Amino acid sequence: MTEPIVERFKGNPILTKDDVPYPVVTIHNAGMIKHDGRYVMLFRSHRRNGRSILGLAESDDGFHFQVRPEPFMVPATEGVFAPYEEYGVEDPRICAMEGRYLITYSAYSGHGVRIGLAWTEDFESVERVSLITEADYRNVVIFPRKFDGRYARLDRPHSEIAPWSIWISYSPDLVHWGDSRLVMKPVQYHWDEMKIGPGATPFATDHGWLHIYHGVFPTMDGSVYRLGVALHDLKDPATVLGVSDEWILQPEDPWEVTGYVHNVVFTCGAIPEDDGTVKIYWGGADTVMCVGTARISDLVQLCLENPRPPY
Amino acid sequence: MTETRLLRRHPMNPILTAAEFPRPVNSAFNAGAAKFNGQYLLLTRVEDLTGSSCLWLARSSDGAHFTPDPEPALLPASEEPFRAVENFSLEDPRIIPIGGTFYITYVGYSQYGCVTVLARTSDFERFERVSVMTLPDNKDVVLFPEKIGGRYAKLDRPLTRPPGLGDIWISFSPDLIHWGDPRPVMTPRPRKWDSHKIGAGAPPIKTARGWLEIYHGVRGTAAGLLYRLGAVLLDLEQPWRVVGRASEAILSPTATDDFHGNVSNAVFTCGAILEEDGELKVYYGAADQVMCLASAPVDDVIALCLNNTD
Repeated sequence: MTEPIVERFKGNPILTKDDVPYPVVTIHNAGMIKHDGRYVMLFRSHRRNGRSILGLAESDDGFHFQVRPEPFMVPATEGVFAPYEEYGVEDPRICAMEGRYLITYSAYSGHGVRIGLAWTEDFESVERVSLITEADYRNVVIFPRKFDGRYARLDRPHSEIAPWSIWISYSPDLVHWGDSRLVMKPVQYHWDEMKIGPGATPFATDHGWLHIYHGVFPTMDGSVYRLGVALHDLKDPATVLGVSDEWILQPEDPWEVTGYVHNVVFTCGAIPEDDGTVKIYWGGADTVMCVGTARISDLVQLCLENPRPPY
Repeated sequence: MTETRLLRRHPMNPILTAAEFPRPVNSAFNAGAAKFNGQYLLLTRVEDLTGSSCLWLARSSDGAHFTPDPEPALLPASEEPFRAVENFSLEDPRIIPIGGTFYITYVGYSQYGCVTVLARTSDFERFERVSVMTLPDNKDVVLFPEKIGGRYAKLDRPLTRPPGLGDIWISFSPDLIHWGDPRPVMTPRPRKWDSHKIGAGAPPIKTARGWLEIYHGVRGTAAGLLYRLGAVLLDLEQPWRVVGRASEAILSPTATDDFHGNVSNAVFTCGAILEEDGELKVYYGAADQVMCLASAPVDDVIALCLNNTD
């Protein structure tokens, strides 16, 4: 048996609802960043009413996390965000940019699901900036660098005609977005044939931006969510240099195969380390948080040496 | 026959059909409308015999008798980034004069879904594509004919699942390239004629009582979808606020032209012209087949919006 690309941490799941000091029934789909040398995890939890909030956990080693006593973001109750967060805030991603941390999250309401942008400098206070999509959109990640003076984000628009794909859009100011174009789409009769979506915030390698995304395959027993990897050009992130033909992680552990939504591994964050590895964090079955480690060079190699067409 | 809705059909209907084009085509419908140098222009969606649509200009001196140009105005682009998003078809154009430029929003249809593309012209001879305005699926995009609060504004119709299936949204842009601050404007109304989905139709027309938007509303029936036209007034300065929305449809498929075609029971507008004498001319595609014209005094349309009986 060959070595797995992503080596699961032996202590998985690293966080469960029992580690959260307020009443929740899940802890999953966490955005990740290193702040002041510590690992910060911004996770999603379902409350007992079925609606989601965001909480924070911190760690010195990236494996053992302590959850803060209070939630970090709950649905806004006043102002322009309130009508769009009534059903919850979900699936945050964190992007370190210009001395602050940008947070893109799903805002869910009767108007559908759309993306909110917030930022924080210290993970003590958080400020909502703008709702940056219409409905329905989920899974927006922002690149941690500007390109020709503009911010860039990966999008996942919905279509009745095409399988849901990954697009890119650009912005001069984080509020107005445009110049959208297709980046990659699912491949028919492939593990990601039903839909794909941005996962972790991309990080730079010598060979390009590495983007760990999720892909979905429909089965008689519902959908299976797996993780894949793509490499984007460093200067032109709309250009995909290669997409691994194979997934890098699929639901296998008991807490990934069963849970609130069974057969799901779903990432919102990964942290590249100085030793050439990357810690990938994922929600297992929309219920618990897990972590695994991969060698960045292995992921790059998968993209370049055994690629499938981006579209 | 007696009209039961506010808009009165022109006796010449259909005013433009596939047969009048200089080569064999399947249908001519859903045209954007503009007045330019004293002429009426219809930028018409023309579907060819392969099923692909292009945009074709027809010109008129009286607003009722139109003559198509010898050649189409816009065919699917060969250059990126437009080629990828419109290689199947160009559909449902709207024309919006802003300053001295005529902007055109049209639907680009491809294997990646449907997006809206922005083009422009100053002479209706040469056309230049500006940008891909939306992600998929998003159509029924109209620009407001002037900036609002220092920014361009558009209405559009992103794809949402229930309960908000097919709402009209608004967003803003400093440069016609990047769009932001989106918010919902209108949703379908349960149990009414526009209960299934709605979308902007003609570009908004400025009136003293607000922006007049002629939109389409859809109801699901046992025989399929039924497309009608409605009217709404939006606040001049805060156009995401509805001033008044007519309870009734202002045009419903009732004429033979509307009943029979590739998509029966559909009236769909992409353009309206407000004449100096207060007549509102609404150009509409009937049954995804032909172009028709109906009109009413604009004051009657405004009154219907303000006398909402809901």
